[in-house]
Amino acid sequence: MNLVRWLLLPWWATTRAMQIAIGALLGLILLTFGAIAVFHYIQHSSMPDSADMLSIINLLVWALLLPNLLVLARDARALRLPALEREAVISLGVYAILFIVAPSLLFNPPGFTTAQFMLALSLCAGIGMAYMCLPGYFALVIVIGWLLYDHAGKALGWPQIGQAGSTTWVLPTLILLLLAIAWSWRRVLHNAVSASSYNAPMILKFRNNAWNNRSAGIGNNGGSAMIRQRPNWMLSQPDLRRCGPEYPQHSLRLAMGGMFMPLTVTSRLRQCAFFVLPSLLFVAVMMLLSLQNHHGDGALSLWKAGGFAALVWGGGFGASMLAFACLMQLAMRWRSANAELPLLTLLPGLPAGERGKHALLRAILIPALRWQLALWLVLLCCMIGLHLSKSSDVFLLLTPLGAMGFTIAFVLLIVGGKLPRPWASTALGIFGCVLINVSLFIPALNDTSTMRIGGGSLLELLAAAWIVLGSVLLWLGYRGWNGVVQRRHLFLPS
Amino acid sequence: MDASILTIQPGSPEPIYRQIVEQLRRLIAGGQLRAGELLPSVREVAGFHAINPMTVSRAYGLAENDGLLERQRGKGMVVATSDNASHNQGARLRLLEPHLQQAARHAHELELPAEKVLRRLQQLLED
Amino acid sequence: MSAMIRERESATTAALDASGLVHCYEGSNALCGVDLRLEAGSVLGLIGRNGAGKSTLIRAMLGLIEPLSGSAFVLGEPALKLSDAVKARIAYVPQQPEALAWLTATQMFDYLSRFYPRWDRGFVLRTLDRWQIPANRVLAKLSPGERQRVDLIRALASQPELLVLDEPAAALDPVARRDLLREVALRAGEAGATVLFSTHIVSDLERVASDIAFLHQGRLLLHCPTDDTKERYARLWLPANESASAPDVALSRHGHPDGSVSLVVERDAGGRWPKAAELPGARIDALGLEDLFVEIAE
Repeated sequence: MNLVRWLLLPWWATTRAMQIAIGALLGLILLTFGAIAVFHYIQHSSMPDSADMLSIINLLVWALLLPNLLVLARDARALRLPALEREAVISLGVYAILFIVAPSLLFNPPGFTTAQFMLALSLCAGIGMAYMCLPGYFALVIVIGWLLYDHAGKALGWPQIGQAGSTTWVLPTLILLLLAIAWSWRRVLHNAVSASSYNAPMILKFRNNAWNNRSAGIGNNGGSAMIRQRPNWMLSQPDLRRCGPEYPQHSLRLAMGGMFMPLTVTSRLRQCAFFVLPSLLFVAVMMLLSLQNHHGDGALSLWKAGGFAALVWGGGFGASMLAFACLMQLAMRWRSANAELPLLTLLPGLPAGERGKHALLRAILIPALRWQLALWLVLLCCMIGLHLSKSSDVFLLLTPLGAMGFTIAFVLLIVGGKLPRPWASTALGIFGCVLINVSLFIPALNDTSTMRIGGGSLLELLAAAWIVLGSVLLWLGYRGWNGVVQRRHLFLPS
Repeated sequence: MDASILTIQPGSPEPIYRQIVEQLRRLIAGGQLRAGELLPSVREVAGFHAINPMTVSRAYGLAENDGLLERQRGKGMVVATSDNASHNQGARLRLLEPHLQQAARHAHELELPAEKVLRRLQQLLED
Repeated sequence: MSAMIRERESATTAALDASGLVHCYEGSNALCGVDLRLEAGSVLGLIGRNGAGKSTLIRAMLGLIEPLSGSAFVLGEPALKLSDAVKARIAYVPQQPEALAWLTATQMFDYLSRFYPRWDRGFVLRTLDRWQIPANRVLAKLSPGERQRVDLIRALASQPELLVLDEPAAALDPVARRDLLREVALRAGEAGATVLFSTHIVSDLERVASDIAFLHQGRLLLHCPTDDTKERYARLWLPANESASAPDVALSRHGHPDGSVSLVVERDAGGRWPKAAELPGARIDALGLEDLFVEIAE
């Protein structure tokens, strides 16, 4: 009886938004396993072993579910409910036994001793927990640490997890992580950090956002909350010189804010640095790692690795993130009835009728597509330099075009008030995302032309999928354009 | 005189314009406002009490009709000089009338003999 | 035909004129056929419970949403198609304003001043100072009360002829609220501005409104001059033995456990209360607006 309660406690302590996220992730994991099974069937490659799966499950459970128990314990203490606080701690212990101790006693993957396996699982749990319980920027440390371990560690001949001697670094790392978590959580308990500040633990941030979104009945702008969290030096400075009735497009961009806003030169440079530096860092790390992986023939492999990293980063991640960010922002603007829309509706001096609609579409689409076009050019340059096969060239060039198609179609839908139901948009978004990522990794796979699924080759299937996506986007764009033409004015909330 | 001499109670069942007129009547009858004294402008009263200027002008207009106030060209509203309305005892007694009527009604309802009530009232008046 | 012309002519004189507005959100009716006309120079207080449809009515009247049916005119022009000339004469502050969160107050005023021909820069500077608003902090980082005051300054600075405020006092402390009411009252009195504001704080309404409109569950229950309301409506209480002779026409009717009833009744054209008020044991209580609304809305 009590055991069931302890097991369910973290789920009850989880916010609705996070519950949905966990559900979606579970779906994705099942899908991935399905895909792996299919590949296994096609290529007769080895299935991932149980040790890997257990590690991943531990990572996710300790990142998504269990940190909520810490929050629950804190809240219970604040509300003077010692029984609940005790239960939260017990529940944490139950999960530790269930997910770390029990598997390491029951399973014994080849090459591991029981103690080593338990230590490895604990490390995964610690990493998951640290991600949520430390400030957001620690995520970067964790990712880079992982990359270093995975690549540089191999090159330098560190003992891998599970090999003899690995305890020498796994144990100190684990202790370090636990100390960091304890330090961070102590600050939370002593109220030394507010949930809205940028160095609050991720879990508090997620909660804060979830609460904000729900509390604002009339469609919270969302933008406000995001700006509030940023320290002043990170805020972008708008360029107010050219606005007014003579510059409708410029003025509209200012009213759209975020990525549409015209910025002062210094602010623009800072923004670029903010996006370009991490990308360069990523490319540089990839290049260094490749240098250590393939000794000899340095320059060429360096270029290949760097170029490929740029492709993945810019073409896949960059383009789709840009499209996503732009559309989310726009959807938010057109949802809230108490923000920019009424202001713009009643603002005198903006062009009216057809001209107004065109000005607005230009003000939105030009800034949104500008960066995506730049990414496309980067991609083109890398591709020419890399000499990949014809087919992968085509698919690589298609990926940012797909993101641009999404942008145009959904901008029209949002502004025209014809947005499809959320589940439909989400489904299409996931489909597009998967397609873009698969197309991106085609160059990484060998002999794609010989891979077959059912009757046709993988490439044919991919081409068909692109055609389907293209026609759906075209149809949606047409629908949106109709909405734009029919609307009395474009600042009606959708 | 300035606008602070009036008190406005928005929550009361009596409309604000009536509150102003009745207060002016009492102030003039009680001698706190003397004949010829200048009243605060509509803007001053409205601004001080954060009430609608139209309400204040309506009250002043009614008071003018009742002979409490007079409009003087170039100056504004002043307390009326004619003593037809305000200074004699009859007028002052008339102000007390509603309260006396109410007291009488309560006395009836409580079935109290008239002489007892009158004696008590006398006591109160002599205190 | 002539009726249409007459209608068009009457629309040009009213500051706001809506007829037959119907709207719904996600299946639930927000407005069920509202007619509301706002004469130039009046101060109309729109009152109603939370969710009565006040904000929706205001948005529909200004053309910020497209109602399912019905028409709305602003200063004589159709609300969904306003000309720049009319737009320059109106100002609207939504409930919990959130616009342009990424600008500072100074930047926002700089931006907007270029669009409004009669922008009062002096008023902005004076009021920012008087209301102690940090003008160089990004709007997103202001408290809700400060944010609301910034938007009120924004609305007043354009010197509008029609000022529409949706719950303007919700986030303000009593001192700031009184200050705002004063500003609204004087603008209406001197500049001849027409004001529409919604609120559920009745005392605010009683101070400055020349007219009140009471919206309940998407319907307009009454619309009349503020002063008249208090004199025209009262609560009639009837003891149990007389409850059968209660008048049929009443704004509200509540039965009590002991069999007595109380009703909100209205004076007839001659200023008399319904006959039942003269029955033995019957009582007429004058009502403040707040009591009146509680009686009606309960």
